[in-house]
Amino acid sequence: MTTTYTVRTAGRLARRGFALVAVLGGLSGCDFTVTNPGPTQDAFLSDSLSLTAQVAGVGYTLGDGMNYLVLHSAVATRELFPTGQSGQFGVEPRNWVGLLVTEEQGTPWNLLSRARWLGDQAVARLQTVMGPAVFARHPQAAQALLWRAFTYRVLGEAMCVSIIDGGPATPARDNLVRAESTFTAAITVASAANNMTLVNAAYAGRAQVRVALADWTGAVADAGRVPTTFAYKMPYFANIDEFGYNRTMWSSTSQSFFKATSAWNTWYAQYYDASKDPRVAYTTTALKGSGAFPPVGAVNWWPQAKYDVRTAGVNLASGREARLIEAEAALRSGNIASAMTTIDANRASVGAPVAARPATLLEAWTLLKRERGIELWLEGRRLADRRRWAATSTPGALDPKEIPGTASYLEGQSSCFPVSRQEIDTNPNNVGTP
Amino acid sequence: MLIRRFAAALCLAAGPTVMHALPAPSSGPPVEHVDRERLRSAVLSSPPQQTGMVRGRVVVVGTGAPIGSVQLQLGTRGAQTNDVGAFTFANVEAGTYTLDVRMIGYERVSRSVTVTLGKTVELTIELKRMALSLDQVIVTGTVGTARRREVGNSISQIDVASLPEVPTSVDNLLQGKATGLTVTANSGGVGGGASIRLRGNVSATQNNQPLIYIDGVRVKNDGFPKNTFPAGYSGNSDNTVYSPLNDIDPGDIERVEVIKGPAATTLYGTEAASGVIQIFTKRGQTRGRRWTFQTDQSASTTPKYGPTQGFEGDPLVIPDKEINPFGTVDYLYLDPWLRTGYKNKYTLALDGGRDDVKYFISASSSRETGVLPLDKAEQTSIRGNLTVTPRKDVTVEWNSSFSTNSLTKTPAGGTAAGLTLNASRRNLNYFGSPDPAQIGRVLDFELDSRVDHFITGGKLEYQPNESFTTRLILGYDLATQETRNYMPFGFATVPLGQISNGVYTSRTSTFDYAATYSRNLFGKLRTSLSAGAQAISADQVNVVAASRNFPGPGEQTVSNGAVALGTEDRIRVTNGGLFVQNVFDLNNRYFLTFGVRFDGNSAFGQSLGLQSYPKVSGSYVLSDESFWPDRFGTMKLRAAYGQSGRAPGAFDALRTWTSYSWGGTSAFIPRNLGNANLGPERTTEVEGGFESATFDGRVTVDVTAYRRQTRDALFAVSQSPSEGGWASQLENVGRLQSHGVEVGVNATLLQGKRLGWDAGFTYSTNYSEVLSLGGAAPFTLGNNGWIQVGKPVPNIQGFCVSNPDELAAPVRKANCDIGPNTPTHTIGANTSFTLPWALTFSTRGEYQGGHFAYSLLDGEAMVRGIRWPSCFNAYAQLDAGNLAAVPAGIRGKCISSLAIRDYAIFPLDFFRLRDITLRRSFALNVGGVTSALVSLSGQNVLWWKKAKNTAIDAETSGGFTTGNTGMTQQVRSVGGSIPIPRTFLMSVRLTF
Repeated sequence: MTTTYTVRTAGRLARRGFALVAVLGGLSGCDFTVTNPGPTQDAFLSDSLSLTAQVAGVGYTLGDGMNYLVLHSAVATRELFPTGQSGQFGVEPRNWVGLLVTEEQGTPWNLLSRARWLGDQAVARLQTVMGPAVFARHPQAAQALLWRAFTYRVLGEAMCVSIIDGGPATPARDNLVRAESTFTAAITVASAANNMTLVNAAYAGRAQVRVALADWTGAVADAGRVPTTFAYKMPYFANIDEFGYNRTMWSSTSQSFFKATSAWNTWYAQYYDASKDPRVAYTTTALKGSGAFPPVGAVNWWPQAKYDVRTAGVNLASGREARLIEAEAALRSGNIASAMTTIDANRASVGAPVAARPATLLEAWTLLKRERGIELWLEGRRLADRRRWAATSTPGALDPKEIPGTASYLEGQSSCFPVSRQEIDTNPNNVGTP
Repeated sequence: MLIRRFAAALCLAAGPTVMHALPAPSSGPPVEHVDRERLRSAVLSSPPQQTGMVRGRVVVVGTGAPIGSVQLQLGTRGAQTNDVGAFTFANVEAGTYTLDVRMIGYERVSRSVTVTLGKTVELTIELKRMALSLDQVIVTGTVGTARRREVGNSISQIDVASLPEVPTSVDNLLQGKATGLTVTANSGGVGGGASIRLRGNVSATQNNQPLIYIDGVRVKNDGFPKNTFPAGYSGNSDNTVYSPLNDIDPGDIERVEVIKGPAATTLYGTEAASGVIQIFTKRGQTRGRRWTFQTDQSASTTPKYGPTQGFEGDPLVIPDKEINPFGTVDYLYLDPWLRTGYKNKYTLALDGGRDDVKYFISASSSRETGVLPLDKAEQTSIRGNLTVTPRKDVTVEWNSSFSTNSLTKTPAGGTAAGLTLNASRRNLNYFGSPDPAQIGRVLDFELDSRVDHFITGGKLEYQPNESFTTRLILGYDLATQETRNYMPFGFATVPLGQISNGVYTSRTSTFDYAATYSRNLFGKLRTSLSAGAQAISADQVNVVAASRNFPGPGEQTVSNGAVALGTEDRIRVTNGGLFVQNVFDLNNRYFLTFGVRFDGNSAFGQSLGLQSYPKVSGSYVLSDESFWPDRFGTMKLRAAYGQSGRAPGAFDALRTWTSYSWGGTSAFIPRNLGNANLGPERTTEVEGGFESATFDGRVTVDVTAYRRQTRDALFAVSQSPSEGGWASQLENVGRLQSHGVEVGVNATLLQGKRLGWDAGFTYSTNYSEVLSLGGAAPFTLGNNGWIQVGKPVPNIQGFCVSNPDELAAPVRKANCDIGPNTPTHTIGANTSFTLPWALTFSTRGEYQGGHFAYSLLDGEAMVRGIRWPSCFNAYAQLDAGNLAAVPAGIRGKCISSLAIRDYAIFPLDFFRLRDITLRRSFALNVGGVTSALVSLSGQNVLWWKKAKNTAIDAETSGGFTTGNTGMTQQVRSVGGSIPIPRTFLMSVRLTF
């Protein structure tokens, strides 16, 4: 009886087990695959029809990163004065007093590093998809190389260190070297593509890089190929997303609700009042900024007027900067007259008054430093200029409103942007800012 | 005549003494006491002399307080008591029946009743409070039901009828009602959804909201998309999200079962690690018809919430020069706009039927104005269900509900267009003026939404014999939301105007089949084998059209903007699984349950197959042993082990790119890195505890200790920006742990003839810890919440001043550990008094503590140089130039150039008197009304918080940088929301 029961039970269990296995087998054969539309899967990027969007992605991200870099470096170098507004379209407190610190400045590093990676990826993918022969003369290839080169240039000029693909931190100069070779490649491909805008931009960019690398011969040679009237701008767009607007404009304009910066108490405003040089235009208002800067309290709101629309492009390189490179090279060889001629021509081209004649080389350097400040105002370049001049102990004074002290309310002054917290946390190479 | 009837009815309601004094009817009921049902029956049914009647009241033993909504079963016929505990079975054929009387929280009573032709049997049934009843039936995920004695894990049941208070929403109904359950309202405005957490957070990255089932049908459990503009800053909103639970009228709910952790939710599969809430709606109980009408009228006001201390801890002194003519610190200068909010709600319900068909229908309508000037909500809902028993062995149920809601919200979040933000910042707001006429311009910002929610489902149950039961549930949940976010032309922050219109649809389909076969194996060993299969398909579509730059004034639509944007998101996730479970029952005393669930899910990585989740649990009814002294009462020991999971998101396994418009060209940006091996989190929970009832059931104790560990935890592993800046990629790398104890005690302290006193106490702890990051770097979830080994999940961390008490410049210290973000301990207490004249007085309070969060209003004020009330005491020194007298910690908070937002992290400990209610039931016989229940309540009328130097309310939230906020927020931060209002409510329910 017991045996029979056991056998029956075992039989039932076996049948149930078989049924369970069958159901499980059926379930495992179920297709749970669901294709959701929306984000583009990676495989589609290798389609030749996707290449334009990849190149645009590099430019978009570079422009996004520059948007923050231009504004924050402008406050740190006192191209603009902070009003105490932080947060959305604002400037953070340590930035107000001249410091670019990790806890406040993650965004420029993150966005520009992404742009750099995208530039490398886009060029590599274009080479693979197009093949070497097409790539060598394709306008999209030239554009990809140009965005990539400018990204390296911006990183090399503005960041404290260089990090590639999660590797160790190396001197920022490494990015300038990469920028130079990439500009060279861009010149080759753009020339083959017969795209003179890209060719001029690449020469102008390479001239900038060679200045930073102290290759003055090469810099002057490249600058000489750039027409004075040429300008290559990072475009901004009045799309529906306000993050795509020119941030320096949108963070302090009557068109928006933000009053984060002011020309008040800057050397540039003082110069503009005397000269009306349109390159540093601003307007006065009776309003106060959108916050309070403790040493001052509520800050008079005098918005900059260089960028007066949301779509205002920011110069990446220009012929007038090329002329100033030639002028600086002249000064380096002690040729004040040549430098002043070039500067005067530049000024004349924008309707600015002629500069006072410097009596000494020191005065000439002071003037040139200010002239570069005026010409490149709010283009994110002042930090790099001051960094290289400091590195080479270049003579020439800066205005008290530009340097730490009671006139500027600067507690200190960073010379470069730090590595972001996200990079520090995710990079295994101990890449915290030295 | 009416007055006489009313007086007689009041006498009836006065209590059991009167009831007992009634003469036993010998030849039919007295005319004064005959009810409509009987009269109708007398007319419509067979001659009255062929039937009899059974009627009476159900009361609490001792106090004689009436008990409403008690279920009675007389043979095949059902009935339910009204609010004065009265019931009637009319037209009962002569014979002897068993009357079964059941009510959660009371001892079940069965008695024999003999019905004689033409006679009325008058009964007074006294039920004894029995918070712990081992034969109480609960739903556990298997087919059918299980008795509490069989279940090896902790399950809480909330019986709505037995609550002394008037629940105003499902969130309110759940709040503080069970150990381990925290319900956080998130918003003081109308329409916001609450965060529900069972035993804290299970996942560091996934939705921790428990699954919700209504009558067996899976429904949407997470919030609707926030009503925000689809581009730019997502804080341009009121920063609340609407919860689908708002669509359920709490008055339609019969009971709720709260199934807390994986040890109990294994059979619910991959998505159930955060627990399950089963809601059971009312069903037809009464033969014939019974109408119920209820109206709730309430008024809400905002409590004072401004800081009362300076950051240094001294009582706040407000100097004359800081006095704002337009508002006070008490309300953080929002005084000109705060108002009394009102809500009017009307509900009409009908239940009835006959032996083989029962129905329940209810409809409700409510209108509400919030305490903020534009807040308005209107809701209309209808629910119905039908239970048909065509054969003795077949039951078919069909449930449907539809709710339509319209919401208008005040822009009150942390945005330049926000009322609270601008009011609090006064002259340094975005208008540069504290003048209400200026700030009030933000009220041109229109935030409207409409939510329609339809839930339908059916259950077919077949039970051919006592041994075999099978059931099939099919369900469909359709939830849609239309949002309109409109800043008109000329609006302060966007002068050219902007508008967005979004339509979101969520469809959830449920297929659920299960069968149970029970038989005796040997002697007193019984086995119960269950198996089943379940498939859930969830589709979400969100389409938003938006535009900016209108041509000029006037009412605009998206079509009129010069720059337009459309977005479309479609996500479909399917999950299929099956389970097998066997319960061994020895001697009705020892129970051992084994089970396993197998699941496949469309969000799993390609290389991942089916996932299995085992469970085992046991219970031992110790008090059934012969050696157990009777005086020790009832005792059940239990232990459970189980696993459950949490699936990743639809796109998390794939490497994908986002495209943006850049000057008319698409631009690819990295989105998700992808991970082909991505699978679900696997949470294992072990719990043990006991349930006991002593002192003749007057004291019940329920104690549970649990420990759970989540392996393969989905961590959003940050990616290096220099490697592409991909968004954080989910990877199954982590290991989390949490543990806690839950203690629930209920006691009947006094049970006198005219006075009863009951009290309850709950204590829950939850301590979480990250055990491993699997080699990944610590990462942030935003809002200062970090995932770090050895720290809570999440750990609030940030900069702090390392020398706060020194009279020196503040020294910033990075990575300071502040503490957990979720409460580590929750204490609840309630008490109720049964008073003469059928009065009941009850109170319930809740304390949560041990957690911390960032306060946006404080943090942003600190770094913007805004004269902040918590700094008023310090300004006396600072304004006088006496910096040296100010400690570093205060300088860091009150001198903006030294400040950092992280200094605005505060403890969230708070206590709220959730409810205080006085109610009385009346027996009536006026115009067909047989009973009335009148309740006067105050909700959240008392509020204490530990952090007195901030305006924050720990129960509000603000996550401004993500699409969702509040209820689905991973790390709670407190934003520009106003606190939870005090509500004063009067409710009247009539049964006829």
